[in-house]
Amino acid sequence: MIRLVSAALLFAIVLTLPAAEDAAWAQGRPVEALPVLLATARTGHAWNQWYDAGLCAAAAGERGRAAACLLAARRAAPERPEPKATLAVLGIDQPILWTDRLGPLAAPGSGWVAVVLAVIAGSALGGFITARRRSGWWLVAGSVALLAMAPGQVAAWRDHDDPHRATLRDTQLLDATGAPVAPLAAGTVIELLPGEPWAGRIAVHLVDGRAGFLPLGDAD
Amino acid sequence: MTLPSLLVWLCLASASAGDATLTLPDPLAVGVEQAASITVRDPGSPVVRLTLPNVDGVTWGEPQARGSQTTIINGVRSDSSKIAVPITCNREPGPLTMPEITLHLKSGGKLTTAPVTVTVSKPDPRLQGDGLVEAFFEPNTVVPGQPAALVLRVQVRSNQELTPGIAPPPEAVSLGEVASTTSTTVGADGADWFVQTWRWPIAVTTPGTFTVQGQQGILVATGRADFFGRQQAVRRQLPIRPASITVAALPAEGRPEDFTGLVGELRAEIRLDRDRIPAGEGAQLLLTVTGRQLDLLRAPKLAPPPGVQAYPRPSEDAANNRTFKWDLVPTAPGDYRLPGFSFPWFDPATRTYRRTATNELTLTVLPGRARTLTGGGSLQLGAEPAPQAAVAATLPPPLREAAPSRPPSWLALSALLGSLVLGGVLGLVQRWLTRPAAARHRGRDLLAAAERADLAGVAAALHALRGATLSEDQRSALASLDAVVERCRFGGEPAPPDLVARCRSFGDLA
Repeated sequence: MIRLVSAALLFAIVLTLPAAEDAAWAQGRPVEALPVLLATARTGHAWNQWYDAGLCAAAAGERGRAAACLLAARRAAPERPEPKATLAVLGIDQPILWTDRLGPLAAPGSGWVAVVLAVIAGSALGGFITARRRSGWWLVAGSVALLAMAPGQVAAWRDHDDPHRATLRDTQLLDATGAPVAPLAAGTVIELLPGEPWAGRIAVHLVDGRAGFLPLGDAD
Repeated sequence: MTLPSLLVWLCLASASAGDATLTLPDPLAVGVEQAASITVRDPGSPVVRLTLPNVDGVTWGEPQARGSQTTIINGVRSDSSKIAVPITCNREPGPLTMPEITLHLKSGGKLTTAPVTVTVSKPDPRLQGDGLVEAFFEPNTVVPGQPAALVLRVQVRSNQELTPGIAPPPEAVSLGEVASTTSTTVGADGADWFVQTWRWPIAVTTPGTFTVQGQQGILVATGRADFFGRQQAVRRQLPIRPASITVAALPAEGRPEDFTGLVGELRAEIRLDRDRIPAGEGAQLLLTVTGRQLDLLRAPKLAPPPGVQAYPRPSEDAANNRTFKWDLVPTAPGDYRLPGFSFPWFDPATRTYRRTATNELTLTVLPGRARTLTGGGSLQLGAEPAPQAAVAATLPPPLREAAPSRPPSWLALSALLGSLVLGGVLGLVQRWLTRPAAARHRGRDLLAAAERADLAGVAAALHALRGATLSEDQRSALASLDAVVERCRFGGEPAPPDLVARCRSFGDLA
């Protein structure tokens, strides 16, 4: 009985959490709402949660954190225009994703349209393979639907692992010895290079072509 | 002093003029006769007389020779001898400086000892019997985290290897290795006692009273000597009186908000590796904090002045101090005032909270040599990072729950695979539904109708069998059976009893 009551209370608290974080933000205290929004985004992985966390971070004056959250929202939903627009408002450089490169070609493979096309393609091709009285139209319909959704799906899959991140705070680009080379402002977009961190630093590539290292906690 | 008694051993002295050293018992016990000794090295001539100083309250006895020793090292001969002089002190306890003692040589020369300072103390009346063991805490009242020491002092009559019989309480945190020292003292009877002292540096982090107690094992001479004159010794256990330490809670009154539990004096110092640098270069700020319990010290936050970026470096620990470092990167020439640091600590002596603060420093960045390094994004070294735009007013509102729903990334692929399977199943269903009807088994139909005594059915089955491939016998049997069935159906004859048996012969015909 006690467990049931505890579980009910916990559930009630969880239900009220979004309202509480919204309240702090709505009352002009985004700094207080930001940790909750970040925790929600990290557990939910939904693009709109990252987007709201980015907006809250920007409102709190944390430009670096805002850029990181908005880039995470872009990776989660590369077809959505909102993160791109907000990054542009903040004046943050944006990496060009595969979805951007494909343009309209990626549209059928995004969102619910892709799911509908997938159902059509699967049903048509499955029926074409097994039915007794085969119709060539089934094959055509299935192939067209499959081809329509494929570019957007592949682009979204590639964009999900996009290596671009943002510096969380004002930091320094370091050389291999750990000596500062150049200052980097919070919110600078960097590209993580493959490889394990070494001596507490990660290898990064800047948009202007230079490579160097950053302290582990300075980028996300 | 009598000259003949000295001449017996003083004649051993020889060779060139040397030196003399006086050794006095330390401490010098009040009212007890003890032995002072004079070591004479290479006097060159026998000592014939001593002139002992007249010191108020000090009585000298008859000098006696205690032996001599001759050594030859690399062909160089060296002689040394000892003279024992009984000494009795009847002075108030305190320091005593014994003036020089003059040794007159047979050759007419003199040797003098250097003045020696010792402590005069009263014999310890507690030092009787086999030994004395005492344990105590220094200090015995502390606050959580304050360094203290557990002291165990064992005083015995004979020099021996001892193992401590107690240990610090389990609640105590060790602050270092146990230190062991040995010394001598004088017992109530004037005899020398050997003292061994252990000191455990500890700290207790929780309030309360903590007690240690136990037994100390020592060796005691039995008084009986063996065949070779050696005394036997037996092991005995001496009780150690319990020692307690009281740990009082830190006072809440006056406790600074940033107090982290540091107890004991703290010193802090900051400096710049270079306080004047040209534009485009950086400097390093070093903060060194000296004290105990530095593990409790939190890394301070540096609030750099506008125009200076600070990058913390890993701190470095040394004995009783920790050094924090920051790389400072100024963005433009000018004078930058670097704020000081302040750390609270608790003073156990006054039982108050105190604070150690550092002074401020000025970093001067000279205009002149500057190097341009292309920075990340749109930045350049030497230029201040782009200020954060005041964009809060232009930001769009949050989406909250109004965000357009978006299927999970795995859903499209799952839908594709699922619908592929579903379409395949539907195709199979369609294939099954449109399958051609299977031909009936005419022989079995005939047999079933016969078993049901369904003459109409039997007639229909026989009619169906007419198209089958039949032998002549089967054809005639079929015609005969057909005629019988017709008679039964339309002639009023009863069904023949062997109808089923006759039909069974056609059961195999499909």
